[in-house]
Amino acid sequence: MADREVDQLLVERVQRGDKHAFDLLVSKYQRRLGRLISRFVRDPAEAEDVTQDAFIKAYRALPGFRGESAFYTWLYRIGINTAKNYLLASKRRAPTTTLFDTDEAESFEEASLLHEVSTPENELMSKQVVNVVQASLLQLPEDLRSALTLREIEGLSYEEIASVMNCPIGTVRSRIFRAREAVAESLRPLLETSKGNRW
Amino acid sequence: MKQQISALMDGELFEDEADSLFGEVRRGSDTHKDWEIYHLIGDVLRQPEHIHNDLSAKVRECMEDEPVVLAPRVRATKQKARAFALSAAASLVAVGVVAWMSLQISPEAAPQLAMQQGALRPASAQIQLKANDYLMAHQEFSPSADMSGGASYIRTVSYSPEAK
Amino acid sequence: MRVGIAFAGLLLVVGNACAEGRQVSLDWLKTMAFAGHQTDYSGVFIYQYGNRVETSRIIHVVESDGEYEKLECLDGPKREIIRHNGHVWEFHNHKMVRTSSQGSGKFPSLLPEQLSALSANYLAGQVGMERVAGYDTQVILFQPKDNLRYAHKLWAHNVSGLLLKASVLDDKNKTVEQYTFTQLQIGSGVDRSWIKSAPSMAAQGVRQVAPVAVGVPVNSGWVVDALPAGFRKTMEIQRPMRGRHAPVTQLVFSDGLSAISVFIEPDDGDEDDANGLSSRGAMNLYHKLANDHLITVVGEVPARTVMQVADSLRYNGAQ
Repeated sequence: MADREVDQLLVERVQRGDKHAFDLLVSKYQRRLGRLISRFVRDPAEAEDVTQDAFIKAYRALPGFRGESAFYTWLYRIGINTAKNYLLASKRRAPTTTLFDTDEAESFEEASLLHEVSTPENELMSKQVVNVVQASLLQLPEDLRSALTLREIEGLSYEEIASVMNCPIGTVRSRIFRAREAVAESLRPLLETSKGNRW
Repeated sequence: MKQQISALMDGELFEDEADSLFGEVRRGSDTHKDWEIYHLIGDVLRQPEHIHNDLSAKVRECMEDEPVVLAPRVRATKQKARAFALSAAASLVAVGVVAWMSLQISPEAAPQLAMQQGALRPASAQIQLKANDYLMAHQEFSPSADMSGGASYIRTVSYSPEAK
Repeated sequence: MRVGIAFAGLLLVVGNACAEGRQVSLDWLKTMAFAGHQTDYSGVFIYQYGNRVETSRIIHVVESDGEYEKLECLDGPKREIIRHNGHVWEFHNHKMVRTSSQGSGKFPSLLPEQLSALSANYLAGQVGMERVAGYDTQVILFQPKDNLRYAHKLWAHNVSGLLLKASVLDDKNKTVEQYTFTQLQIGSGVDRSWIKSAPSMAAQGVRQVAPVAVGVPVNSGWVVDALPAGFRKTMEIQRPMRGRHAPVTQLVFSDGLSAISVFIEPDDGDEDDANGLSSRGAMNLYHKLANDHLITVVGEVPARTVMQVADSLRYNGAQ
């Protein structure tokens, strides 16, 4: 069963009226969609709003999704269109906020830096999450770290990892799980301290 | 259970196992949290500079006002034709320009132009103007029109001062 | 042991950077396609290939009813074009003439299918930051994994995502063609006064020049045996072409960044047609007569590739 089919199962659940299945899709795709949208909408807070909006649009459109393309393809397309509409709308409201000449471009970049500085908690939090994940990954035994890296970064299947690491598929499955769980264990205290600002 | 979630998100369970496992994941349960955190870890590894606040709570809040969606169960079918139609639409923009360009260069210029030798690749002659129809027909469906916009318009056009 | 850990850490960072770099480069492509259609800009760019240089001015603005674009060649005879979404007018014999109408121009988006084809056939990466026309740009390089396609180097404006410079390089890293903005204004202050004249040109009507014909999908029975890896057939149609009596069969293959078209038509005995290889910038064209058919292969790929495709074309019989 490929990744695409996992999404399809969730999509079918949503289409049968299971709203919760959509939560699982949001958890899975929010950062990838957020990154795509941030290429268009530079302000981080605005990009978050647009991402959220794109998910709602996707939910509303989901009854019409027939699985001709992969779910993420379809979702990314909605994300790009939502970003496009947002930019067009904000251009109508205030032409200088999304369009800029050379001088404005420089001040624009300064402004976005200021914005990041102005939300130090979020910045700090995301840095901490990244630091904790990377640090705990380094603490892992080499075989666990390799298995997880091959899966998450290289996108290999268990079968491919088994042949790279020369071990049974069951071992791959267990190593990846143990790696994830070890990293998750060090991440949980951090995430629980930020109530209402969950990750 | 945790280990099954891990295999589930990697697409390494059988379909019936996966579907029944999804059925057991309750909102706000530990299993749900494991799903979230395992995906967060994956994203940190892939795109560490793009880790932002968790939006799922906000999205869920917005969705409370949304009606439950219902659609007939359908299976995925592979369909390439639609993907093509979209990319063709994207490239259509270029074709008008190419058509225009091919009309701009006078037919008399063709023989001289054909004799011109490109400095970079002397081995091959310049494309003859009468071949512009092929370039135009090709450009309609080339991804380069989407990629480079104006650049691809100009490619097919090229006015040659030496030919005058 | 310490060294071991440090080394493992380094490997991790590098692995990260590669996967991330590839994804980032693909994201930039989407951004460029988006920005090119959604941004107001005006500027002067030069197009170079071989020993030729050509200067043009382009103005692009987005209004509530879509895109308007004016392209003017600044060298040689006056050549000018105005585009509004899919409608194109050209300056011809001292008046503007409508040349084509493709309906409303659609917002283009690079599809994930195309993007995955790209990462299979090219190594994509950000190779630096450079200034072009006074703007800071990200430089993105698509290096092919074989010598059957060109390398593409793209300079994208950091802030708007606009493509400011593009080079096509051959396997010896020599520039085949290049397009560069030398002067550019982005956003506010772009001249829009010329837009008003576009609809009136439509009203003048004038003559419809060679409306671009739409092809009919077919299963022609022609196959390419030695198609370079990664190229997939995206289309197979029969289409009328100007000056041809019989419809022409066109097959299009794409690897996500460049495309190859194969045209097959009955040989009409015109000797000029069978003249082998020719090129313009990154475009290579190869004519060949085979079994009473004129075969023409065109693509923004190296000469060897169009020849390989033409030489391995075979009629496999009606399907």
